Amino acid sequence: MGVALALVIIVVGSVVFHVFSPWWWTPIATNWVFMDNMISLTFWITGFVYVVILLFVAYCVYKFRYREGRVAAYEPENKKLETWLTVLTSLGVVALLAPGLVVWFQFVTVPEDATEVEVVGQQWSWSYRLPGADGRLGTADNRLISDDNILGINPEDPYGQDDIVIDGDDLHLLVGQPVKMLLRAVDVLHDYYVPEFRAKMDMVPGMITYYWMEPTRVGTYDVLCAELCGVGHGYMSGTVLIDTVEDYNLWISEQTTFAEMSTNKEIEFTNLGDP
Amino acid sequence: MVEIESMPPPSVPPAELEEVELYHATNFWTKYVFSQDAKIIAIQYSGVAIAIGLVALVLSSLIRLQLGFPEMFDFITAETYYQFVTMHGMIMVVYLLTALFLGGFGNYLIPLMVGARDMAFPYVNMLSFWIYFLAVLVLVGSFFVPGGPTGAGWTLYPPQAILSGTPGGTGLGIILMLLSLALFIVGFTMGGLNYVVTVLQMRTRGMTMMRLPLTVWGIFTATVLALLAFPALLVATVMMLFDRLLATSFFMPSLVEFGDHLSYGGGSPILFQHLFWFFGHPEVYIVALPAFGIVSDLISTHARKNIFGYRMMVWAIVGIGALSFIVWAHHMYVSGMHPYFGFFFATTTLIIAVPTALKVYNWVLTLWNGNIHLTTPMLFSLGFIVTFLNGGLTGLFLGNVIVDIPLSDTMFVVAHFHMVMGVAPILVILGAIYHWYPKITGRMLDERLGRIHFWVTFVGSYLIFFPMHYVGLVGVPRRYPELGDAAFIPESVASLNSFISLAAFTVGLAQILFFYNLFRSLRKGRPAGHNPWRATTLEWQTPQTPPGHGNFGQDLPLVYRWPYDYSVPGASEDFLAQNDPGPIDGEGSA
Amino acid sequence: MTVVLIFLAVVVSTSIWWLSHQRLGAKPWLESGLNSLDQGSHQVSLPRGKIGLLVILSVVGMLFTLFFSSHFMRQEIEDWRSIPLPSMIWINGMLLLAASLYLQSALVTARRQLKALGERTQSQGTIRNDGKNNNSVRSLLINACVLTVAFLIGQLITWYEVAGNGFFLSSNPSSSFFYVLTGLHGLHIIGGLAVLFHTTALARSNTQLNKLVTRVDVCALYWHFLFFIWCVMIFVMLGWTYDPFIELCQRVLL
Repeated sequence: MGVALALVIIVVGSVVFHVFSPWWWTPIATNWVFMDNMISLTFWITGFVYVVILLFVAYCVYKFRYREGRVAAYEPENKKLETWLTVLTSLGVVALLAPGLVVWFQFVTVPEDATEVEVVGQQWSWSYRLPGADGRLGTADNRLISDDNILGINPEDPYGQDDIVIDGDDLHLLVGQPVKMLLRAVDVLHDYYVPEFRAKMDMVPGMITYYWMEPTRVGTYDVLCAELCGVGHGYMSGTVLIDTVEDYNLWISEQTTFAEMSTNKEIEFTNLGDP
Repeated sequence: MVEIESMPPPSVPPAELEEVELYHATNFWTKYVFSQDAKIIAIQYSGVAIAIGLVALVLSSLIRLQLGFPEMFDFITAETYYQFVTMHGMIMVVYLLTALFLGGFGNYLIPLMVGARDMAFPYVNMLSFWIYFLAVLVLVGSFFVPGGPTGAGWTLYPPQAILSGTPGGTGLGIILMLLSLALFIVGFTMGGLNYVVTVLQMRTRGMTMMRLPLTVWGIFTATVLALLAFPALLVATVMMLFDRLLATSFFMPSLVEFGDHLSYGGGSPILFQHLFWFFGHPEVYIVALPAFGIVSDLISTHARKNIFGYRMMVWAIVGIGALSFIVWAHHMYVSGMHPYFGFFFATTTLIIAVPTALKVYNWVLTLWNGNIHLTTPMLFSLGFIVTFLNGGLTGLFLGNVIVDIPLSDTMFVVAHFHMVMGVAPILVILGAIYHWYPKITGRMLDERLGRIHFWVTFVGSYLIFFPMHYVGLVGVPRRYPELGDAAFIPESVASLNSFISLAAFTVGLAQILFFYNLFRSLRKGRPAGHNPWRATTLEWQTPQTPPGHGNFGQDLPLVYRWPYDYSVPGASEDFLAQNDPGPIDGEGSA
Repeated sequence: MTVVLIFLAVVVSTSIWWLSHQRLGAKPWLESGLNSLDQGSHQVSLPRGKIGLLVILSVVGMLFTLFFSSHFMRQEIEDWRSIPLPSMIWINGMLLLAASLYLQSALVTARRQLKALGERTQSQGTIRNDGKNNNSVRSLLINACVLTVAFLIGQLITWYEVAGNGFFLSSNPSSSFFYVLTGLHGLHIIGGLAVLFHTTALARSNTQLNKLVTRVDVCALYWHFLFFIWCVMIFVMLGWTYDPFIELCQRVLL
């Protein structure tokens, strides 16, 4: 009796906790509402199964507990029941998998009109690169990284000259503009994670990974690293802002390009030489 | 009922394979230290595994100390936090759970349950334990080297695992970890060889594969998985050792570490992940399948009812084992691997949910119309059903690739795998110890203490990990020493963290009750007799309790029935042992 | 990883074949009582040692398959340059093949002797196992040992030559794989040699002939298997692999 009651309390308690929990996802800031919908759907289906099965267990524990003279049934199998359960479970699985894969297909298919932004992770800060006026990012390689060229941009590539380089500062993105985040790492694995964006992907040194999204809500958001990258992993935070058109254009005009950075460095260098 | 008169016993035709002669130990060293008796080896494995498991339990308390009450303890820095997390994980998964289920329960139960005198290769079996022990020593050694143990996470991902930004990366920490793993794998191959060959070759007469208790099916399939999956870890370990010690670039791409260009180039960190998870996913089934098998037997015995759908249970175990090899990359959805892999692995992962669900239904249906004795082993089995159901269902979230994207690397994942791989199998282990302790020692464990232990452990663990899912849902990442001041995290999460930590300390302390019970009952426990639970399987039918050397005395048992003849209609008792011939009137069916 | 899956498929299908003989569709609760004592009690009718070896071979096979798979995956990254292999490897291959053949011959001889002994025993009652019979087996085994040791020496010479060409362990990925793969293979040969030495010593004394046959059987199988692994290994390292297959892997993996 006590055991059955305890089981019921656990089930009811879990449901109550879920319903009244203040701990829910942060309000979304991109188009990936489908991910939230999928989470909700999964909660409904799995929640239903959880409650039904556990209440059934509680019932069994109560009704069929040991009593003097009681004899258990002898039922090695029940093909019909087992077949039905298999079919129902498979249907439940398909109900989760099918919409999930549809949304996944959307996730891996970047829309044509997406702009590109490169995120570079390193121990333990974030840097960014925007394509600049020509709309194209120049090539880059870790082997070209130096003190003057922190992102390893290929100096011989003309497309790279007007790339905007942001070293450790905040990133701004334009609301309503789909963007493909190109992810690079300089040293170890990192992961560019903004909870409000929902999307995330590891960045792997030697590769360029990606995800895409369309920011839908103006605001300021925390960036966290989501792949263990050494002792600074938990402190590798950053900020990303979603701007309106006006704010975004203002911000862009204040940034330096790769060419300007190199020239500035040269000027610094020559100035050092002058008496 | 046919009256059994003095009919001559039916003639039993001679055996097909002759019995192999059993060795006999002569002195203290060969009897108890370098013993070739699987029962002694089992106790050795269990002792070492539980001891190192307690170390990991202490580490988990330190982790919760930091998460629940950050900045209160100066010695818990980011470095030490990552070392705690790494060693806790690796010890628990590999050195405790795998060793205890396969080396501990496997060694003790397999020969007894199949009706053999010992394992197939006793000398190799003995070696396997001592190699495991050596592996544990090497691992413990890594705590004492300069720089301390590795803090790379139990997943040991390169490049960070062997670089200076990670504790132990450029020191001895990672090297000792890798060497320890290599030793473990060699030892376990030797052990696994025994478990598989014994089940295949040394079943007593009448013991067909379909008359094996599900415990044996579970451990047997898990061993096959282990034999095929551990080589992947060995390959990864060897390659990483070479990268670390001999400057090869199996996994190391060109990289710039704090401004320095390193000499590595062209390696693939993702290759490591493929190799690691090709091992890693079967590994979780290596832990889960023995638990499935054992809990089936516990429920069946203590509910006095045959396991529902035995055939389906066997097929499910074998099916889950086979499928477990084609789901590994669901641990790599955000790794940057080719996106099309996501379709394939999400599908196979959700397919594997079906046989797993069927097993849950069958456990529950075994309770239906049963005669349920709420003994401590039964309580732990019920606890298993609750927590495994919970953990398995949250697996459906993470297995579905698009749902995994926002949830991966958050505390949701931590909550999921602890519930399904930590709490559920440990509840089975505890229940199994309460169940088989009378066989191993001849005495019963105290029921009252057992109940208190159960309730605190079960409810406490639930209170630790159920709320943790919601911490992850908020978006709090895993492997963070503290919450920090990110704006999206409400204040209340810190309070929730503190609550979880308090629950964790309580559960940890409650285990003291268990150990007290274990040791006290050795002397003061109620004498158990040879079959206190009135179970059908062969280990309870030995002439001596605890079983003597050679297990079954002069003659090996003959098996006449499957292991689940509980409450057979028309029988005089509510169970029929497997070696019980039944009414001697020539009837073939029950 | 496709390579690995193929290997697994082989193991899995063997398991399925065996399992299907275990009557997994049976309803065990319906088959109780004495009648079924030996029915379906399908012990695998192979000696224990042989089963043990088959298990070991699946593990070793898995290990090498995974290494080969990694080799393929690494091969497709553009900095890959296959190192040239000295012609000594072909001689080594011949040595290993010869050792395998001697072992197989030893096995055949021992089996024939066992059969003859069995026939003599039946006609004359029990007969003490005559140590003299084992001599021919022993000399074949000794040949196998010598050839295997020669193979190992040859492999070391190959290492020396490759290093002499300027390719060391960390020179480039291809040379890394070369040393690791051949080294691992050599270690497995050494392990097998320990057993072979023991078996050769056993062939001298008055061992029961059937035990000797099992031991030689096990050694022979192990040698054949390692020779097969060696062949695949050389093909993989020389790049003698089926190109469309590699291309398929490359397209899927990247």
